[in-house]
Amino acid sequence: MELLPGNLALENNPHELSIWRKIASILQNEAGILGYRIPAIGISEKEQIPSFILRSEKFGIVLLDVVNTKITRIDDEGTFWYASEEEEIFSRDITISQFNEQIINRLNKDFELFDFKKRELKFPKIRKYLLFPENTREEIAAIWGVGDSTQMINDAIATEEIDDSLANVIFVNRSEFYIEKNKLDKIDSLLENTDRSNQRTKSIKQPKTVSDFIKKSLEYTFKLDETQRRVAMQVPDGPQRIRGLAGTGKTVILSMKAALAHKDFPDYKMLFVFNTQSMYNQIQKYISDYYVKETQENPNWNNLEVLHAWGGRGKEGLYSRTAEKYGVRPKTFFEVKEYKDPLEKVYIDLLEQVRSKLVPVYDIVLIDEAQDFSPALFETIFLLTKEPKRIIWAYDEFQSLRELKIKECEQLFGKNKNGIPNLSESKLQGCYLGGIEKDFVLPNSYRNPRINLMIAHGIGMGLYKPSEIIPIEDAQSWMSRGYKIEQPENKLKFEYNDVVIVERPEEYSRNNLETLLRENGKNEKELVKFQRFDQSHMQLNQVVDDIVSLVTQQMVSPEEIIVINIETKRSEKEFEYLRSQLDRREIKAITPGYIESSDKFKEHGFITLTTAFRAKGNEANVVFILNAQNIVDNTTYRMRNAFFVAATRSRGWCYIYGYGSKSESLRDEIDSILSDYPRFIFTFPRAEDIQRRLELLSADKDLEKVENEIDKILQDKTYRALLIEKLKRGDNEMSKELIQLLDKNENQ
Amino acid sequence: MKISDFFSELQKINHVYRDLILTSNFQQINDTEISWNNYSPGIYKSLYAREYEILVQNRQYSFLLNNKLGFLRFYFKCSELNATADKIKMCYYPYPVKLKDEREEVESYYYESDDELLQEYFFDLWNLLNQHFSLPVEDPRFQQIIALFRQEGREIGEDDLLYIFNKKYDITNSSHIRIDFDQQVESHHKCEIQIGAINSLRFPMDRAISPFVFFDFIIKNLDKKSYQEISRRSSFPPSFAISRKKSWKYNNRFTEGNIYITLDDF
Repeated sequence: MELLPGNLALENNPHELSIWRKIASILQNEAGILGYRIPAIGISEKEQIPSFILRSEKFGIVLLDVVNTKITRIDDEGTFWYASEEEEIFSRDITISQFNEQIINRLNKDFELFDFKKRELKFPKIRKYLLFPENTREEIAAIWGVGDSTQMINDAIATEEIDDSLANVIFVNRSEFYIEKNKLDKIDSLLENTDRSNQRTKSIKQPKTVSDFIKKSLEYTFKLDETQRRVAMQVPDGPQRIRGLAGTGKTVILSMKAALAHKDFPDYKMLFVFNTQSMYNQIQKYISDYYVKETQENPNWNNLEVLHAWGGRGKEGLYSRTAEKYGVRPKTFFEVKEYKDPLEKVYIDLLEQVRSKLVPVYDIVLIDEAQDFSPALFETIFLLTKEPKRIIWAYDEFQSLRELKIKECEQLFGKNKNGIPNLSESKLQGCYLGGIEKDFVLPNSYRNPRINLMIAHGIGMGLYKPSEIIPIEDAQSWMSRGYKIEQPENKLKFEYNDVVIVERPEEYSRNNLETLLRENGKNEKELVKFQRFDQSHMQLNQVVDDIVSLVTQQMVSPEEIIVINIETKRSEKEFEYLRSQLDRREIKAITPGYIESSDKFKEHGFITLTTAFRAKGNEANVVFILNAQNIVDNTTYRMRNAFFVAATRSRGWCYIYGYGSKSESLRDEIDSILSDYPRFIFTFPRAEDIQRRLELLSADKDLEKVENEIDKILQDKTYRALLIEKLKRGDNEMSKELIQLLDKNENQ
Repeated sequence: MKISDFFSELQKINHVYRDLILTSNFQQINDTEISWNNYSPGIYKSLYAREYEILVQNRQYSFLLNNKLGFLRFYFKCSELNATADKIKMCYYPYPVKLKDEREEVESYYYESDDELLQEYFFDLWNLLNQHFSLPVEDPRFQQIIALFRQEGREIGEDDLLYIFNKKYDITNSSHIRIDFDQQVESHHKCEIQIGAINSLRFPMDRAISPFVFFDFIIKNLDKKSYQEISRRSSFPPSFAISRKKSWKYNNRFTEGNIYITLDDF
């Protein structure tokens, strides 16, 4: 059973909690979804929603409402019930019936669920029960039993009957309760507002061109999957981290959480922080779409603030607002543009000036794109959030190779006066009520086809290039990125010389292009294509030809194509060439950041030419990667990182190009990945090799410049002699490291 | 000149000068007008580099040139299909700045970022302005320069800043150049050269020249090397000769008096 406890813990009602536990235990081995006031189907007042809603194939739809107080009498019509003279509640009996009507109103718009001719539902009728933990059968009979007008519509269960009824009446296996799976799926998506299908559009029957496949892959019924729903429908009573690869739906989940919490606790001060300026409208739209459908009202943006971490032209951000509030002049981007991470710099300065003065104002804070933020921002948010620190941050697992390891809470949230971390990683261990992990992993990726992701991971980590391999080190991190460990078994941390076999199971890859290709007699491996050339210009000309053929023969819209150049030094010249050549063939291209402004991506009618660095955060159906040979022998590993970023931009095809002798080595890597697909098989390297490569990869220094200088020095005979002499003396760190390394290789 | 003539002139430019053109964007937008996609007339006039940037970003050009050579705009309007031109505007917008140093050197500051020449220019401008208003400037490179001055026992003044600016930039262009032809106009000459936004000063021309000739004039003087290559091709002389014939002379004779004709605007 999938449990959606929602705000059960926040409401903290003893009767509901106890009955919830009973139901959960009875149903633990059954399939289905049990929600606490979920789904709310567009009702904003939580009092109008029954306590528990069950949806399952075996038991159908069941509504259970818990009457939390002892009812002593009712009015003449039975409309109002009285717990004591002061407390008057609207009939729960009527409430639950009205809710039932609302569900039917939602479902009777669908042909599969409603027979329009007979005007009746095509699935078993919804069962409704009222539970009275404070009233006995005798009392119930005395209060409701007499007049016709006050008779209850629904089944009432008295306190002494609850256990028995749950086990032997409500949750019993009877054929008349049964709902078919396809109907239940439809019901779920209609009740949860995730149904984006439009029954009126005609779909492509037999996809032929690349464009057909793209279009067809986009027409799907978006239904939250089980793990997404579990985490989206609950507002935790403390910190929570949500992790997942790109395209696992983190922004949607955070937006739903925001809308949900805002609906149930409209007086709470909430904050939603994000990093990509262009996401502002999208996030607001997600939240308000969901909120409006649920409540028929607009969100109150005064209590639900959606803020960019910094702020943009004329738009307030968390930084500028906080600075102004505490009397600090907010810095502009220009003032700190020379710093490596300008955003970090402004938050560090802010904390230095006002750390001790910050007063908690927010009840709930949601942080999207948390991987882009530095500790100073997390600490600021920590200090601005009230107890019990309901901070929920969505972390993009592995956006770049620099994130082979995740940053832990101790590193993120700062320390208190006594030097103790504000939030320790142990706070994320275990579950919140209802079994929702405090550290939640979303394994299902919707964006990248499996083959794409495995090429990105395989090349990125150099898994098939023993001299450059830099793999994820522990089993847990492999699993949280959607892999299953086949070998070595039961080993949390891999060691030198372990032969590691991991598999990316199909069930974690929800990109439906993969399925679609297979259904149409094609192989998903077609999504990745590598071509190598002897000369650079041959590569560029082939790119032009391939784009022309995609656009003119495969009917792909130009905006669906992003060309990413792994070579940054020559990229401007090469883009000029490509752009001009494409222009001759009547295909228009843009180069954001060079000619057009840097936020112009995927403009309608234009191919986008860009670098890996700029392509971050964007996605397209077709991605071209140029100069991929650069990843080979790149001592700083930055090119592997760029390749990794580039390949993960694609939600469909990935065309890879390279030239020269290095591209042969790249071809071998790609071939090996393809032949082991969907597995990776590699030998685990030495810890110190990984350590050294990580050091290079995570450095913020200008390594290319230093490398050039080293090369220059080594060309000089005298300097070379000097260096060898120095190393031979063995009295410095480098000699020691080198000797260790050589010894180990000899022992091998 | 009719709309079809004008259009084929633009096609010819696109063909002959292909090697220098990054993006062509000219379009006949209706029966009587040729301009470009998403034509929008608004112009940002106070800071040329910004005006240039905005125009390019919004593709307000007919031809964008390679190698940061700027862009050209061609506009044509007549009263009805097959009528001769009422209005022709032909403009050249040069790239706003040119550095003295090798560009690569200056740009090496920016690891992983791409061409940010104009941003850098704005940044320098901003520094200059802020220094004047005594705002705290925390650019370390800038601070370094100031520190150097102080080491020599000098306080840095506005002149010194301007000196730095002068040392870095070879040219900072301040505007565009254009040829306007207007059949209807009475207050000034029908065909004239205008330099940038200096509305009041215009040089009269005794003939309207064809787009190809205008384009040729710009390229010939801007990029001599490429021009030599292009003009050496055997197809070039006839192309040029034909276009040259499309220029047409005007009855109203040039007199020195015409130069001052719009001084009334002051």
